[in-house]
Amino acid sequence: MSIAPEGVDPVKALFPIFKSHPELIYLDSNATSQKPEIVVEAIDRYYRSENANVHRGIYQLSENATRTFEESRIRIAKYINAETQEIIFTRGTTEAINLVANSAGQAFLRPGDEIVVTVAEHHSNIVPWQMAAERFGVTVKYIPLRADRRLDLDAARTLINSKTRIVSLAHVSNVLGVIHPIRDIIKMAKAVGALTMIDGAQGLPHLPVDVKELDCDFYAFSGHKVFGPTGIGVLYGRKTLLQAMPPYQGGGDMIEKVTLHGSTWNELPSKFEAGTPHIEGVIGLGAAIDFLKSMPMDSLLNHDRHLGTYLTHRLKEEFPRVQIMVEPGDDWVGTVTMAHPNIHPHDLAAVCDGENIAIRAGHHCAQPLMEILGVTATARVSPSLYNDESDIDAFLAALRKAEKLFLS
Amino acid sequence: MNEEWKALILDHYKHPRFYGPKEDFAFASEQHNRTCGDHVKVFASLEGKFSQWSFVGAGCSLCLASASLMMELLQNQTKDAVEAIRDENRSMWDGGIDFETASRPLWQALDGLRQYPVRSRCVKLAWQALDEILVSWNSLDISIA
Repeated sequence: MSIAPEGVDPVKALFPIFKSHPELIYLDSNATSQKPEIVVEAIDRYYRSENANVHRGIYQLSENATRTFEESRIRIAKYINAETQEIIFTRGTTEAINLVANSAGQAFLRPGDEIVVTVAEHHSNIVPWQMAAERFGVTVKYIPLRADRRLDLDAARTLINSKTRIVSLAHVSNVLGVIHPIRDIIKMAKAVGALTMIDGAQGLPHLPVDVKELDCDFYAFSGHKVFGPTGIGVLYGRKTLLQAMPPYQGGGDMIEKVTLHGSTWNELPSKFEAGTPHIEGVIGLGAAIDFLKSMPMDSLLNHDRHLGTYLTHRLKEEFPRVQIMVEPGDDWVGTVTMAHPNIHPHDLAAVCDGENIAIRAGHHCAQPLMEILGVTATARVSPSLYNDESDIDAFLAALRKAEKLFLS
Repeated sequence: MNEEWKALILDHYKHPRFYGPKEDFAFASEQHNRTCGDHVKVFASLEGKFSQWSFVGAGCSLCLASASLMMELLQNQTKDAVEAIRDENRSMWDGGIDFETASRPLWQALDGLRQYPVRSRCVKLAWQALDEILVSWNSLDISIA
């Protein structure tokens, strides 16, 4: 790890983007995280000195690339306490959920079954199930939120019943930053014999994950939200289930034998990894997991939560017009989503951009949730380890500037 | 965007021109921006060859200022003139206008936006409504002819 030059925040010094843009205040980590030097280096090294296809070549370079690639899988498996064969590489969380909706759908869904998700999901954990519902003749049910915008567990107890076949929900809401009580939901699902899928896109960046301890059947996450590259993600699936599911896509690598009359499938995890994989993505993700392992997860969560709490308190004190979507709590990762009655989120984001501050404005791929919040769009500040209180202060100054511009 | 044009946009946002629904409209078109939920409805009525315009909507400063500036350009114009304005707007997005010498303040004000493709949708919303209205206007003329 690099040593920070004098006057440079030691954490920021680990991220080359802040060397290229020293003035950047990046508060949009729920959209994507910045990448530490060791991830950039791993990808650079692969292309400069290790590039070859994997699982194919009978030559040293390819064998080395295969080894580095598969070592990443082992490190990722260990990090979330899975078996190596249970780690399927996908393009991201979205593809992982689509894989489960299709393949587990084909294997396990029967007409009349029910799928239960929550109203607070990202579109990627709603739309694949709606498509599966159409295809397999099943129904999607939604767990509502309470007035405090936490999941309504009483409603969940009724919704998850003997008809339920799959329960799928986010570990952490991308809009609200609320950590869902997934252990309770998984228990409810187990009690009725339903499968469980956890969308961990916002979970892994903030929380330690042990899939065996959680006892979920599937857990998905994206590389780019955990300091890794875009275009790569992971699906953890319980081995017995993955074995019983048909492949998601056909092609090279995923077959055992192909004849003109039909084909047989390769072992796990290859059965679900058709075609040349995103090799540098996997290698970069392996480096990102090493980076994550080097971070104390408790203090990471406390850091993000502290910044979110600090922002929430100052908003309440200094900007009484701003509507804040959730109250901070122990079940929260520090994401602050807000609406201003007189400033459109796009305008706020544009004013922030003028001050080199990156925030997110829009519906955050969660239109059903926006409807429940009673807004069409919001502004979202999502801090990460490279932010500090001075970044929050800068955002508040930009908000004050926007008020001056739009309220005068 | 320079300060002068920024002030123009803010002025039109805070004080939109020709704002309000029309009872006696000949054409109307409502457009939505899927990414943020903004919406604009444009109305046009006809007095002989000449058109009167108004709009309603909810959106960000660029979305509503663009609609308001469009109203000023279209007011009392004939169909040919309206089409010419529409074409000029199109060529603005295609890079066919030299902004240094652009005659209309709207094009100059909007020049800075071309670097924000996401926000171009905000600016284009009212213009999409105009496209739809022109289709109706043309088919009405054909049926009368």
